[in-house]
Amino acid sequence: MAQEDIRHQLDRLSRRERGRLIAGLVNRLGHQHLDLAEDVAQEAMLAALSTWQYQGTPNNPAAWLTRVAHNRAIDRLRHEARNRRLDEHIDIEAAPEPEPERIADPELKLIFLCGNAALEGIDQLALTLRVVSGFTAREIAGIFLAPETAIAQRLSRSKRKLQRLPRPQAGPPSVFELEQHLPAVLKVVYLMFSLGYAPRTGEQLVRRDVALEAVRLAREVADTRYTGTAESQALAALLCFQASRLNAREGEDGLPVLLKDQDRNAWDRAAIDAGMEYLHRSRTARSPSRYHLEAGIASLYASAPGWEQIDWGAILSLYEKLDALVQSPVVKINASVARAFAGQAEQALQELDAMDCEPLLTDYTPFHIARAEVLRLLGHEDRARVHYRNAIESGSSTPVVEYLQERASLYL
Amino acid sequence: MAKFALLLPHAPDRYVGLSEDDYMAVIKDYVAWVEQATEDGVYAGGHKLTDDPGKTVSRNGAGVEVHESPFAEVSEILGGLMIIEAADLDAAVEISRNHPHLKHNSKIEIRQVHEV
Repeated sequence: MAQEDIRHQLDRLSRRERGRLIAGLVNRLGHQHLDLAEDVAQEAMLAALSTWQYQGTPNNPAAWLTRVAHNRAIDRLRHEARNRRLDEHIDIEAAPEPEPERIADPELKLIFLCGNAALEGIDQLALTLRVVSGFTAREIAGIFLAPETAIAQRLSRSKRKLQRLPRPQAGPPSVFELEQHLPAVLKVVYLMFSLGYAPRTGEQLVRRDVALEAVRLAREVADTRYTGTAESQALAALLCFQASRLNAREGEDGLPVLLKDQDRNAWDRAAIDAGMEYLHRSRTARSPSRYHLEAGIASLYASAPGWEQIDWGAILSLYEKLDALVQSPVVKINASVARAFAGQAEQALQELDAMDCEPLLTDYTPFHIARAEVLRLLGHEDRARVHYRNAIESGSSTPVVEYLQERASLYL
Repeated sequence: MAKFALLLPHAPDRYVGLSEDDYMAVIKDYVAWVEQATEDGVYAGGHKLTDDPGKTVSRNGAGVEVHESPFAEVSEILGGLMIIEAADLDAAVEISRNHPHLKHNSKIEIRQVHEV
């Protein structure tokens, strides 16, 4: 098992280093060389691992990799220049001075580049996972449940699009442009977390890494002066709270554990404390964003000493505000569940029954679970059983289906 | 403690045309094994041989002949060697049992290093 751990660490190290190399190269060479940066970073990783497989990992892999990638990039650019018979002078040794009032951190620049408005949301996310976070096309395909070739094609198309962009639009946003571009970046990070957190099929270990990577990016954005707006703080708070339960929400048998049944000692205290700190810093907002409201809800779960002490009234009121802000059936379902626990189960059931005609919800497992649980709360066991069955048939990951079967037999 | 060389042969075309992801996955297994062996205090070093087939120098009467090697179709080539420390050959065999080379290729030759 220990070797498995090392292997997992190694996966994380190579993703992390790969992203760092690409960010450094794009920063030096400009976004029109994104492809070259990615190739060179990959070559450097391959060269490194081929050597390390016989000689062991060096004490400072980052320095080793930077040197190799840098040299290869120079070689490639000189070679290209010769082929084009251009006499252009390539000087990438001297990194340009960061322009004033522009984001200086190479990694943040790369995050903003991937979140460029020229790309669709899903491509922004896929490209961020690939070039910022270093996940392989195969891993990304596994997470999106899509064929690897399709993902690879989308990734190259995205890169071509970005490389064609004129400099001003693709360049790192100035502080004044931030207000315009930051929401897209936050959304990418938010989606990345949801993707990693969702208990669906696919490689669980990789999913967990995706979720933790989203937390890292959210914190980096929140901790940077220019990008650390109230909204960024709220997102970082939300993700810290959610991530604090990563260990507790899955039982030893791999089945999901309901919040109610989770061992609170298994929650990550440090993550909750960090979440509280970010939430505190997010209070400068003029009006609460969806991240503020969701972080507020998560903080109420995290700070209650036990299930019995959860302040359902406060949670319900935050869900109502969230519902008014985002108009999502998923939020409506959660609001109804909170309403049921807040002592208004009859009204909650009416809300859920009214959503029955939403075609999108037929395959949405949590909708059926919510109805079953609220019905059970009201003592309508027969009707609850029907909805548990709907939940099982709505097709979720194997662990969730097993869990539902167990739950249905336990209570009904 | 004695030293043992693990000779790691593979088919000549084993890594030809492999996707980068597949190749990375293979070498990561090796890195992980080497890291673990280093942590366990049994790893003493190693060298990967390049994929270039190299040359063979042979005696030809009084002179010396140089050939591209391998001479002819061979079923395997040496990919590299690792040195481990173990009490005896049996212990070296035990250490090699979970070697990723057996997952990604088929055999390891274990030879004791002659030390005085």
